[in-house]
Formats: sequence, C-alpha cells, structure tokens
Amino acid sequence: MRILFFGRLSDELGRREMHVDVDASSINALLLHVCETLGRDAAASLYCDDVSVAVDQTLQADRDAAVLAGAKEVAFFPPVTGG
Amino acid sequence: MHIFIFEDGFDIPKVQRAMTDNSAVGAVASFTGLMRDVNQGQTIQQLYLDHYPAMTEAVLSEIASSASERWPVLDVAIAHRVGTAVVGDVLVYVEVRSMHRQDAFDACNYIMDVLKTRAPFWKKERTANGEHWVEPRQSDTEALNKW
Repeated sequence: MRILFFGRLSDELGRREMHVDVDASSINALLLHVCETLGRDAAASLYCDDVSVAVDQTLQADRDAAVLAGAKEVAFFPPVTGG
Repeated sequence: MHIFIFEDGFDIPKVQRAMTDNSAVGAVASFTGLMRDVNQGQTIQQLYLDHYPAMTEAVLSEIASSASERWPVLDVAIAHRVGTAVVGDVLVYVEVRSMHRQDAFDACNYIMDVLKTRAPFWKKERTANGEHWVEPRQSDTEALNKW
C-alpha cells in the first residue's frame, strides 16, 4: 500500500511517501504500523486533530471503519490552503 | 466544464478558449487570484504550492459540477497553479458563463469559497525569516456558511 503525505506533514515526516505491506483494515490500524516504522515524532504529526485522511482519493471521517480492503493509496494531509 | 492545473506559469487565454461560445451566453464572470507580496504582516518572497495530483482534478470537477447543479450555468472553468510562484503570479482563475449575470456571479463566488476549504492544495511561503506552511483562515471556513 502506498502512503502519501502532503503539506506540512511531508516536511515533519521528512518524506512525501512510503510503502507498507501490512494487513490493516482500518486507518487507525494502519496508523499504528506507520508510526511504529517512523517513530514517536511521526505519531505527533499524524494523530494531530486537523489531519485528514483520504483512501484512494476519497476522504474518510471514520478512522475505525474497515475501509482499507483493496485500497491502493492512503493520503494524510493538513487543512488545505489553496486558492 | 474545464479543469486546468498549471505547473509553469498560468495561461488564462487557454482557459478562455476552452469555454463555450454558445450564443445563449449573456454573462461571463471570472475571479483571478494573485500572489500578494505581504501576508499576515510578513513580506513574502516566494510561494510553493503543493497538491495531491491524483485527487486535485477530481475535487475541482466535483466543485464545478456542484456549482452547475445549483445555478443554470452554461460553462465553468477552474484553473489552479502549482509549484513555485512569485509576487504577481496568477494562482487561481475561475470563469463562469451563464445566461444572466447573477447566476455567473454567484456560481463564481461559490466555487472560490468551496475551493478554499476543499481542494487539496497547500501553500508554503518563503520570507526573510525562512519558510513556513500557511495556516487555514477561519474566515474561509465561515465563508462557506452563506451557501
């Protein structure tokens, strides 16, 4: 699964993407794995209240829902500031 | 409906050429957003616009479709800059064509309000003190309430 980070998260985590091979069904389960890999500082960034998550480009509000079956890409990002 | 992402410079005439020239069009409203030299009291030297390429076009299309459902518009274009920009550069251009002016004005205003809070773009400013990511403004979120 491809994991993407945008905006300030890409700087805070020092990367724009990573690949994980994990059997996680929910975003929270995936987050546990990602934070184990990236460390405590990453957890502070990714669990921040204003971070949104998109699974295959669709925003997901429920981080405990089983939304990752067959997912190819999960993106984490802060509030948008375009325009 | 037309969506453009410009990585190197902005081509407004290209956007305008893509729009319908249907003889029913009686009103053309547009908004052009430029990079300012000062933001929240700081002089901005350069701006970097990050985006989520796989999601950007889909979200902008959804916003244009939503505007087309709310108002009887004849055509809509949304164009956005990504990458590195300097003061005076065009960052966003929205154009709406309709039979009557109020529909074009309202749809254009609506598109910008939704784009500011939903489209996956992130600005990073460079000042004399270094670089920082731009924080969202409460006023942008509140602007959505009028719709």
